[in-house]
Amino acid sequence: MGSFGLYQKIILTLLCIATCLNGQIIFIAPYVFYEDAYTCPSTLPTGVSCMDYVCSLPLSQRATFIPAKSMETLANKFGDFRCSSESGTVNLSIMIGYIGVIIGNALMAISGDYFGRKTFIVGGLSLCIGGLFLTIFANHIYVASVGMMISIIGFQWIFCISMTILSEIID
Amino acid sequence: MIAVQIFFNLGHLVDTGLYFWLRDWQQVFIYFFLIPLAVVLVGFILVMVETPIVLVTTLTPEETLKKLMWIAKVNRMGEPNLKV
Repeated sequence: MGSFGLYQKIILTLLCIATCLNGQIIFIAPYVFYEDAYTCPSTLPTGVSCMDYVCSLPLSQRATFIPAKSMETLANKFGDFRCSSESGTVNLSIMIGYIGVIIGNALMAISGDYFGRKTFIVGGLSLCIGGLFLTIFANHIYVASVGMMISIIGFQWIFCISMTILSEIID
Repeated sequence: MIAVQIFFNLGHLVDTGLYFWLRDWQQVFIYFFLIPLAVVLVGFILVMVETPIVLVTTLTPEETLKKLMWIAKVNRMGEPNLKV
């Protein structure tokens, strides 16, 4: 078959692209959950930070302190999560997404040898695409985080099985 | 394997670039994740056959030979003189 022919090069290229995307999604949380800091007038009492002042107000009164969005993010889409009373929602969403790493690796460890390598690659890529669709079209931040979790499960499958594939197809 | 690991870390670097150049998460998800993933998925479906160890342990010799011939064809090795 050739130890490193065109077939092996194509597979390696596809795996490199998929792994690059995996590296992206793993550290995408600071991007998708970014929110600009509150902006306050300069008449605040001394010793009180803008964040503390605004967060002491009820949620309904904070809108005037929210600056124009510097970027469109998932967090901006679903509301204001800057204060500690609401930031737990974002933290939980991030955690739900990263649980996908644990689930993906656990599933791979348990069932990696019961199915073919191609099955896991195609299944993993399908999970990624499905999860990302769910994230993009989610109507709640938790639904979006579940979508990210599903996509991260798929990415973990690809990442784990890629090492096995390379060791089996390249001499 | 080292190449794959390099590309994993390259992904982190691409993330940093996205912060500066593309400020819409939905565009990032569509153009930097969904479309490349769809291309890679189609590529795997069209090109990849199972790895040799899976072929040998799960398929019949005739099916295995047929798939190995496909790899030989992609590698432009002509028709290898293999028989079951």
